[in-house]
Amino acid sequence: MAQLYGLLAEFEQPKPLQEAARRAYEAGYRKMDAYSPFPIEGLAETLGNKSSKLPFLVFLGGVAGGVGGFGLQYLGMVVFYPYVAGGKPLNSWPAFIPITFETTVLLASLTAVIAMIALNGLPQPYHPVFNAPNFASASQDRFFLCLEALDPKFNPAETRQFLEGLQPLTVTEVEHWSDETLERAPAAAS
Amino acid sequence: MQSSKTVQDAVEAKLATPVIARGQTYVSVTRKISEIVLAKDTPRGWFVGFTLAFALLMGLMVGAAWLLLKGVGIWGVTIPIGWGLAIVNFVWWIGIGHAGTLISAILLLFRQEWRTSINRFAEAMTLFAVAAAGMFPLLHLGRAWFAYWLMPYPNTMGLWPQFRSPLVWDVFAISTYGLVSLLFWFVGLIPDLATMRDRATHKAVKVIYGLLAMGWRGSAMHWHRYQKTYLLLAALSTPLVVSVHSIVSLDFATGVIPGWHSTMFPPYFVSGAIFSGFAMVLTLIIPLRKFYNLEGLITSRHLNNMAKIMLVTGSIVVYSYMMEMFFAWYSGNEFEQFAIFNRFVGPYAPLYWALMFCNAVVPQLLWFNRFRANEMVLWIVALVVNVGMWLERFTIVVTSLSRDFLPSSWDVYTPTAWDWIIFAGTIGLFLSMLFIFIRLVPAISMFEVRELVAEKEGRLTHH
Amino acid sequence: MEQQNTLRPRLNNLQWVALAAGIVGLALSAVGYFTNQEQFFRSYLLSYVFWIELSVGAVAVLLIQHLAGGRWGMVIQRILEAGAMTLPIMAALFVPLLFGLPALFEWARPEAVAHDALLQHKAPYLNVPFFMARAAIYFVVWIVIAFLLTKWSVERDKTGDAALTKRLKNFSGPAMWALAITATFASFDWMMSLEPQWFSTIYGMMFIVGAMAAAFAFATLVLARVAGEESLAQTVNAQQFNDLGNFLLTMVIMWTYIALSQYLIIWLGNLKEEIPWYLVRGSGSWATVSQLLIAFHFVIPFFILLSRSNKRQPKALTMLGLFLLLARFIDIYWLIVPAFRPDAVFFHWLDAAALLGVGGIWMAAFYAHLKKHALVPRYDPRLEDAAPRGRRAPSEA
Repeated sequence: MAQLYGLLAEFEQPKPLQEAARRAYEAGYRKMDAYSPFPIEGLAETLGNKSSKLPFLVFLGGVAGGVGGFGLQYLGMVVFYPYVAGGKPLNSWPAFIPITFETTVLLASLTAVIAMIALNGLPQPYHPVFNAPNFASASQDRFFLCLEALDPKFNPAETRQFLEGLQPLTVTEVEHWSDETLERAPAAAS
Repeated sequence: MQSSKTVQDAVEAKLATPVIARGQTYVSVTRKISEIVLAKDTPRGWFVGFTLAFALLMGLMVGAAWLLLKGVGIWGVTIPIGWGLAIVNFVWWIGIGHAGTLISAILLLFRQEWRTSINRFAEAMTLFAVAAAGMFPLLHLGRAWFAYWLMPYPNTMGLWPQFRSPLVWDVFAISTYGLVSLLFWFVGLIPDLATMRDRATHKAVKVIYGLLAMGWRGSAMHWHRYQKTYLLLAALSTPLVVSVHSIVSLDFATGVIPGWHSTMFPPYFVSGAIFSGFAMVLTLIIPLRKFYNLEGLITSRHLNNMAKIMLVTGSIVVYSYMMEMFFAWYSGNEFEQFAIFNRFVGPYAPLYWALMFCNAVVPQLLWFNRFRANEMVLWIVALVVNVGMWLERFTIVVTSLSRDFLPSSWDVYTPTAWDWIIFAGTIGLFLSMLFIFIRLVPAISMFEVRELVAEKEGRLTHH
Repeated sequence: MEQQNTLRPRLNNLQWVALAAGIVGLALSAVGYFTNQEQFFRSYLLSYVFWIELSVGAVAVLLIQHLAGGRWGMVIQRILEAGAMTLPIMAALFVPLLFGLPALFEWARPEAVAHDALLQHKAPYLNVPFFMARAAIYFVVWIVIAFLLTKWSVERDKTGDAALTKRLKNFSGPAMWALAITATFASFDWMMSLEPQWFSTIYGMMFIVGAMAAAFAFATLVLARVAGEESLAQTVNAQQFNDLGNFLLTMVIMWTYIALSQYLIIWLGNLKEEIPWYLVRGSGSWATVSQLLIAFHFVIPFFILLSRSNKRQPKALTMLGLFLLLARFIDIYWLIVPAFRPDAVFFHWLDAAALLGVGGIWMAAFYAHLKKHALVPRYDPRLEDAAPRGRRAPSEA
């Protein structure tokens, strides 16, 4: 018997999903997630998620890039290899601005992408929702709300009833990986 | 009178086409875009185009091999004209790349929804243009295998790159630009790679897209961070793209060569870059949308808006030409005066007047609705501007160098066959990568188009 | 129009206060004219350039918003129109300068030109009659553009004729060209030629960007002040302020970009015909002004504008608008005054008097026009966008 991960409700449009997410939060569910084929503004907040600390990390990355870029040039031109070129001072700070700018942007961008991937917990090739047979359409044309079994308020029957009250297209059980799913897997893949 | 009125109305209606044709659904756009990639059969036209591009690319291989064997002497460059076609092509290619970043980043910040169906393609164009551009400084080094000397690293020679030199700034600018463009493009692709993973039927194809998608599942919090990242990347790329071509312009402007030393060069070069970049997008996208029947996604509105951006940036370029002429006289500097005079009537005068015709005269057609609504006219104007912007760089690089301060060292530069073969080769490189891209990756951002569909159909709750 | 009920008396009062201040300032300046004629012209030019920049910037932003403006453009359209309509009176205020050309410009002093081959070379451009003729052309072009834009937009309010929208748009493209060229040469004439040996090809762009920055700062400031008015409360929301804040950020960045481009190229080139301009501004007490300029025109506003919440608060934007206008003044001061006083920073009480005099008249003209029409245009295709969803603009209700 496979262990239950949660119940997955499928919707045709973003609006009902937004509505369902709001109702689920009001009903007291906390361990849940929504899946959609494109970003829906405010959905993460509706589900009770806090704003991300990503911008702050990017800011730090930018500062590190700027300081590092200027420091690199200063060390190279003033400390390690002091050499007068074109009658310019050793610390030619105006001439160091362009590279300082480039390294700032470079480190800030790298931080943004790496932080996004890392905070999202990617790469993550396996996740229980992928076991749901209709989940392939989450990346195409369907909108899903998954109430997870770990939630203290979760009760298979009651939660199913609650979800069905939201008028979804379907409500599916999502199971953790097991021998049984393994047997079913090739069929799902084809 | 009556008929001209209806023609006018028809033109206006065409220009006001919505950015996405009516009646599109999530499924229809997803299928339309992904099938170009997932289709088992490759259209014959693709093979014809790719073969031609690949043949040119082979020219680059031969040219580069011969160059590495014999040295840069096989090019027409000689003192005083040390910068020939290589630098001309480098600046031209980099400029072309800038339209991609402009479309994906700046238009995103300005919430211009029409960017949605062309941004992926334009970003890919940026990457390939930067790759093509990068060939030239590398080959121009002569000993390309020592290119890593340009990077600052502790070495046994105790040497450091000259950080006061704009040429070293270029190394940082171009490599940062290439890398950030790649990041931006890849981040934009992640959700679409997940769609491809879920739509692919072949096991191996599924696994490859699946690996690249990193297990993307469209979770709400993932999207939340994703969008923050995407916006931050856009906000970072916007000044980056401006800085890149500004630094390219500083390669010229910080020197004291007459015709190069001008404080206006950075904005002048940036405008020129965007001008030529949009010309290249139009040159490529007009045939592409015909070939793959994408008129419902890339509409007349897109072409119209791009033509308008060309008009704006083209105007700044013409303004810069005017300032250049005025200040040559106003400065009272005889070398500056001679540099301009030499462009007007010197050995390269025909090229100068051709560039004026291409960049200052022909684009004026874009003021008129009826020409912006006509794909054929647009395509021809775009082609002409591509040529004109190449000629502009040629004029800037070569006329100034060929007439040094000392008349005894004056010379005339003629590109050799190898110059042309390598230039054509980079066009081959660019087009080959573009063909491969169209075949392997969704050329239009599917998730953003779906978002657009939802918005147009009023499927979203607003806060 | 119901909006005037609360706003009109306020604008009326402000207009009279401004007018009184202007007259006092001009009267004081007149006293200065008889005590120190040379200083009078210098102070007058400084304040004149500061205020005319605002008018020209208003025309430029108005044209841009007709060409490409979204919701943000519509809510500041009337403020910009009032700013642009100060041009006729500003043209009249230009006249006193014509009597002080030799006091201001080296090229207008025949004895100076006689000993300078470079000035003789430039004489076909830098001479008194041509200078006056050019100024006349600039004012004609600017006034015609300002007048037509205002006229059509007011007409559209009355008739709601969609053809006028199209006409405004079609006119704005060529008008932008005319404005760019005239503003460029005006900046050469009135500012750059104060140091006639020096030149910089980017100078015109620098002036236009500065003018647009000033106009955006001013319009944002005024909008933030009147946003509480009943007639606007439903049309203007945080999103528009956010957009305007982003434009201010863009302007700050563009100004920095252009200023840095000029500095880097001249500093690295180090030519004897260019570098003295920066040597003057980089030495002695002028170096302090240069540092202040970098702090006030870039560092401080840049970091303030990075924050999203700052951009959405009218109060914060009011302060920031004032701050940026101060930065604009420092910039113009830094561009103009070193030509007269290369040795050290110099303030004269006439600077303040002229600033008050020209400014008072400018503000009075601004208020006089602002109170004439509805604060938000009634018919604009973008209006429905600007209003909160599902609600029409109040003036139409």
